[in-house]
Amino acid sequence: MHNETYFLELIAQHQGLIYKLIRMYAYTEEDIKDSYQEILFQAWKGFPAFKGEAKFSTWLYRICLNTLLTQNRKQNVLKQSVALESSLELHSHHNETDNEHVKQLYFAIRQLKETDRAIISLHLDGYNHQEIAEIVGISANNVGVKIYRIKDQIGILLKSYDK
Amino acid sequence: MNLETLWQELSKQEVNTASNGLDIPKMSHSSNNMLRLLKRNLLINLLFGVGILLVYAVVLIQYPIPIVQVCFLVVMGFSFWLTTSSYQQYKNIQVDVSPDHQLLGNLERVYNECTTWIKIQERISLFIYPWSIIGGFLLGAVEGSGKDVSYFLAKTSIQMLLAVCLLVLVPTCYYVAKWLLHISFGQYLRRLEENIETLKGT
Repeated sequence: MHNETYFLELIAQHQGLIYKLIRMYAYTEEDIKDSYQEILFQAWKGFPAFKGEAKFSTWLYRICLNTLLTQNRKQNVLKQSVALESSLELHSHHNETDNEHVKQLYFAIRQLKETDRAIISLHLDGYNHQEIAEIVGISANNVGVKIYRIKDQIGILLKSYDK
Repeated sequence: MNLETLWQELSKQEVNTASNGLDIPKMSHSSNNMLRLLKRNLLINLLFGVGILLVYAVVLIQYPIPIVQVCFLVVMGFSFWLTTSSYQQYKNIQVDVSPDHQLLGNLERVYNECTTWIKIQERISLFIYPWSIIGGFLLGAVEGSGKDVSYFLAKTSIQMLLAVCLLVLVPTCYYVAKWLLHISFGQYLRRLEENIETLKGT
């Protein structure tokens, strides 16, 4: 079951998730490529231990967050908006306004603290407080408080973009 | 659209076509993994440690000057201790990311591995350099002049010169080592520390 083809198939199915998470942390093309390479490498090394008890997306989520938050990256805030534009080519069937909203949300999330980005992405991907607490390593109550505060912060940022 | 729907849209975006056509044999690790960098540094430390032990062993045999031998034996003792602790850390560092690790625990693990190594490097400059400087200084003086070591130790000017060497070289080596570590790990460790504190806080 744990062969190369199967692994690559699963990765291909989840490329959207991987890139979505990488782009929250990596600001340059070089870092995006480097992070992708490292996540794939780590996932491949850990794949034999994947027993299928959890969903592959959850398993991969953990690999992605653990890899991304412990990587050494260039912290160039000035390049952030430029890199976002170039790395986030939206090809959605939705209209321009919706695409603009997606970009704004992404941009707002990238303004948050690194660990807050991880928590809100898990929340927006449908994980409940207990599941997030298990992945992140803090209490479910703390997760709830953080999500409330982060959403508030995102709301303020999105409003400021509309002005 | 609400936040959740907007977020889901991002997973559906087309990804860079260059990343398609993955090939496992071509898959390599990135250079941004700090534990991998640390492990490489530890390996260099190990090789250096073994090299230093061999060089000092040769010097001990070649130059039977008691006070120089004492200094170099102390250096060798510290080098041996550092080599073994570097080897222990090298063996214990787990570079691979495990999905079983919780994010907070993983951040703390990486932070601790890095700071442990940095502490070892700082100890090198504080404990090894002074002995190495004294031994090297006296060996150079004896070999250069052909006079006995007691002749130098009795001279106030030589004692002063040795003291100046120690006062200048030990802090210089210490701060250069600290500066180099700061360049390599400073910003990274601050980011890890900040992430750990943010997660622990409410």
